[in-house]
Amino acid sequence: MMYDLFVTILTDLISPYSLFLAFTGVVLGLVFGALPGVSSTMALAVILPFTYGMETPAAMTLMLAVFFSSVYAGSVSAILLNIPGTPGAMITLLDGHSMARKGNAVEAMAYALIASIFGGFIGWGFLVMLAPMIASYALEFGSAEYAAVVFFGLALVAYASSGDTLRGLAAGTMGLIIGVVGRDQITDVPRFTFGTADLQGGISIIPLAIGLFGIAEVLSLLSRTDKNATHVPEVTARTWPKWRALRQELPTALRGSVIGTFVGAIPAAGSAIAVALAYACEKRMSKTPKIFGTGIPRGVVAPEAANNACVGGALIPMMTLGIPGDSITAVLIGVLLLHGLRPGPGLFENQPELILTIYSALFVAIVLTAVVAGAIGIPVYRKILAIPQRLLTAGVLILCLLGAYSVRNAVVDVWIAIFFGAVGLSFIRLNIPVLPLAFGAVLGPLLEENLRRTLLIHRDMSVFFERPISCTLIALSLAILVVPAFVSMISKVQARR
Amino acid sequence: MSPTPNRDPQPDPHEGIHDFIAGGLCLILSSGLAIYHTAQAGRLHEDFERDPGPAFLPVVLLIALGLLGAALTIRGGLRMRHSQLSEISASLFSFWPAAVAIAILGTFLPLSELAGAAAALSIIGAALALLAGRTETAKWPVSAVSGALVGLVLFGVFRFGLSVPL
Repeated sequence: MMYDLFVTILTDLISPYSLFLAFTGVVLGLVFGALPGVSSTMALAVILPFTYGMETPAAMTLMLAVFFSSVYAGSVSAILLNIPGTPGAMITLLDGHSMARKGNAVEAMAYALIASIFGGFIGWGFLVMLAPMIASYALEFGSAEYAAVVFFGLALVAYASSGDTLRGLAAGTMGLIIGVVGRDQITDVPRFTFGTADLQGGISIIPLAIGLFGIAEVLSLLSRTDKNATHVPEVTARTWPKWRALRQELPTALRGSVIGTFVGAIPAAGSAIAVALAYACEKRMSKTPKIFGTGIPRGVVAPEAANNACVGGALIPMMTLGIPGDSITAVLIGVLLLHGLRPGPGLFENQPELILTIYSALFVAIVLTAVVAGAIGIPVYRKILAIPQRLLTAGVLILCLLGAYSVRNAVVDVWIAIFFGAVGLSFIRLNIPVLPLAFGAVLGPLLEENLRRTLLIHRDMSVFFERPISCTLIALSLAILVVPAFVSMISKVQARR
Repeated sequence: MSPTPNRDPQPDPHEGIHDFIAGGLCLILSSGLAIYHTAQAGRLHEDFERDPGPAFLPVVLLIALGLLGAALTIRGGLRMRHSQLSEISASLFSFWPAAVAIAILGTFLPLSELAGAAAALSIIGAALALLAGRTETAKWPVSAVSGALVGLVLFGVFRFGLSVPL
């Protein structure tokens, strides 16, 4: 029966309207992802306002297409300009740009595309296989387990985000405070509303995400003094890799994809860590590690398979537990909340069609990325990379303003987006990770609801330590937060001796 | 004999400043919100472990934020002993284009009320393009006009394409 439903939804997705949305998403993702400094999250924040009037499946189709194709497109500027388009492409440039400098840009981009598509399918496969299993397990969770899952997620985010754990924890705590702004659901008592009616319903996630991931990133680019060189190396060889050469890279692509999927599923670990791990793994396994970085296909295949496999991986905790795997899935959660849906195991029970739509939409996005990106040649990318900074800055910032306003046609949302833009910029400047803030804001209400429900039912805090799952998760969270600091302290003491 | 050079990785001098500012902000935020929260959401329930009430989680979070702020401030203070004041001012000075951009964005709503959304978006677009184009080779009138056009086009898309009442 599920198979029939899946086929029906896939058939719906290849309707002209859905195909148009997916195609538009892929093209926009390729453009935004290729532009240096425009991350996939920023691309999604910019596209967001166009999804408000859409049905949830249509919105998810567009967003997933932007998500997947922009992750791939990060490799374009990495290979052609030696500047990663997205953080996930930071390793690709080592060998990708070296290949381009030798005149093999077409070959490098072909390897990147094929590895990305391969990684995308592997990530998708794991998503389809693992998500229902995790969700059915998570359906057994009580409120104590759920509160512990949120705590565990926050600990992971604080630890794995850039910056350091202490700053990550501070940002996560601020996020949780933002999450409890507004009238209390049970007693109707206002919290942190400062006497304004606009904050009674809480701070909406979408303007917050637009501010943190859209406005803040553009403002940060604006302050950078180092200007990117836009010289694309000449192409001397226009050949795609031969089948035999591709077959040799298959184990690398497979390893990279598996690493990418599992690292992507860890909240906040993200594609930057996945690509570094995949590359390091290949280098360690190679008999000739010294040739890495000199322009070999393996150095492109491993990170590209890993970063696109992260897409499927990041969707696993989002769909099964309602926990964002990265900043992009935090925005996707915002979209679902806007449509009155809370992601989590309940979604698998109550909205199986939506789950299948997400699977199918990602599948279609991968196929379309292969088709569109395969058809685009280097001359087109050369034009995209030549878009002047002034138009990009003005365009993205105005889109952010209008996007925040059009969530509810409310002036307060514009102020919220500008405020969080300034907050996000300060965080970037102070090297405080932004993701825990968004993560906390998304999960704050969930944590409070489950914490209070647990205490009201069990009348005792000790329940968290009496139930095996919540006890294990709390112990793991404390270990994540305490052990690294302890180890670093010991190594410092030893170094002084 | 010359001293052996220290090959240990040296901490970034800015990290201490970053910790100090971040910690200070956390402390100000937590204490300010704590005062406001006590007045607004009432006191913590006496038997909060059995009946958490609306004040419980905010209180826990404010205490946590205060403690984290104190830890960051102390760590920053310790790290900052080796930093120069000039490094702090240089770090803050490069902030100006972003601060100007925030100010420009902040004028959107007052300008919309005064001159209408289309004019406001054109002006903001022009100002942002001028700011971003300051290091590009294009002449400033070209930057201003192209930015204003971007603003107008986006106004058209939202007003007429997406029916947003601007």
